Amino acid sequence: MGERTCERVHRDTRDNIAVYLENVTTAYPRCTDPALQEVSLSIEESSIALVTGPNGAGKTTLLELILGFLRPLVGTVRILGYRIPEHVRKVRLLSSYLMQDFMRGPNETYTVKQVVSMGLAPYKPPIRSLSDKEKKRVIEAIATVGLLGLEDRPIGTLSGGQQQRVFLARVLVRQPKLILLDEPFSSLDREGRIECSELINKIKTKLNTTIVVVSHDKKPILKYVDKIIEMENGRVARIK
Amino acid sequence: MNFFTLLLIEALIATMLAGGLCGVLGAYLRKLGLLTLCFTIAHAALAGVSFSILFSTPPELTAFLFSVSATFLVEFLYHRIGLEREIISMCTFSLASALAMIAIYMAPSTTLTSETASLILWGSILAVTPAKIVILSILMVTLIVYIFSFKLELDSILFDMKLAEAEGVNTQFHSMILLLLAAVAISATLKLTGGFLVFSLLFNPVAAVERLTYRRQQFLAGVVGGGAGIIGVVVSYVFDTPIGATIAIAASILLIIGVSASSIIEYIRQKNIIVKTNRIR
Repeated sequence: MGERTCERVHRDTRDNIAVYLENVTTAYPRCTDPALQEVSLSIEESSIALVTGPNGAGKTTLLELILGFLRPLVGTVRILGYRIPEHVRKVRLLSSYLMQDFMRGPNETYTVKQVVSMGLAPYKPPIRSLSDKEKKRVIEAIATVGLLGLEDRPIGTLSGGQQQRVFLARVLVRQPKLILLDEPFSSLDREGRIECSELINKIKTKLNTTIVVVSHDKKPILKYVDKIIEMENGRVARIK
Repeated sequence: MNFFTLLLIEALIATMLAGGLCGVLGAYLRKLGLLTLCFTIAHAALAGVSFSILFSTPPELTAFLFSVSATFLVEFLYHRIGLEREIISMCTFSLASALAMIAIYMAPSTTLTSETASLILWGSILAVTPAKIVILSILMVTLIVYIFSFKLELDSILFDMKLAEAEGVNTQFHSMILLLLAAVAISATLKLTGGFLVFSLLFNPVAAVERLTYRRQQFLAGVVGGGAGIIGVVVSYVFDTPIGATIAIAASILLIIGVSASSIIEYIRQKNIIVKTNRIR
């Protein structure tokens, strides 16, 4: 990830803002109504922000916008100093994403180690396999999420909570500047939610990175959160 | 070595390579949800060869140009205009089929009755030349080098395309590379297996191994494809049957064997679970 240094030439890093949206309106293709409307918000670097709100409020849409899957029709989107959609690939390389539907069926044969290693795929030059340093990083990430000993197990044979830890290890191994977590507590029981939020805080401390957590369930993460963004009907209702 | 033995050896090598290539590519494209587009590419190649009869152009090259054009057309409409890939693929398929029919209809009647036309539609052992074996070998080496060079990226895409894209993997580039390799493989194989039967090498191997195993499906599909090619050539030689149709039947038989074997294995697996459960009781 040494290319980050030269990429900074085009970055606008004023005010240490990791996520900056100014009057952004966006819509899904072939939809008549906007999915997000006049959204303005900012999330500081090295902080945890919780985006919350009812179903259909636009929480996941916000993440899709940040990752460049949706284009802003109006307004400015600047992620880690890069404008979206112009520098979408750079932002993706500097970010990590945990999807909402991460559960894999029993037929998924990729092992824990393979799934975590996949996180390094875009950084690795062609032909070369993972270096010893990168392999060590994979094992360290697996250890951080508490799955050491299960690294050669197929992911499909793990429980929902364990699978989520695998994806968090994949997030971790990339050493991202920005982490986007979409409903990380949805398939976990009460104990799992507490463990997961502790792990999120541990990742933030370890990587000193910005974390955006999208969740309709505030409770588990509340004590670690620096900012709460409440959304309703595609708009920002409140920022605390 | 007499002429027929040499021809048989060349045909065995060529069909094994073609079957292996199509099998591996079919398995990758199936996982990427691009098999319908692959079907369209094959029909575009058929249209290309039909036009090559009409305009006396090199058949493989014309087939390649048509199939690549179809690939770019579908991908452009999908990525830029936002149309559904399955629907555009089927529309392009019908367009390609119509163009093939028109080209065949407009071709001089002497051409239609000639060896060239039957060779394109039904395939022929005479289509095997040392040059074709070299092309297929180069293609096989290219595919192997590509797969090993980008193994982690390809695994990431096969595991979850959207996640791979969100992490910065260039999924469009890899889809396009696989589709272009398929276009070359189909164009090079078309005269051997025939325009109507080339799909059997793309679809049947992956279907044969899909339920049999979840590991190394691409490799196994290549083995099944290569096996279908070899069996097809041998049977065609022994019983003097059309090579393309015989390869397609061999691929279908291997598909039936694969599906039956997977059902038997699953039955045994479940029986073992019942036996174990009863023992615990």
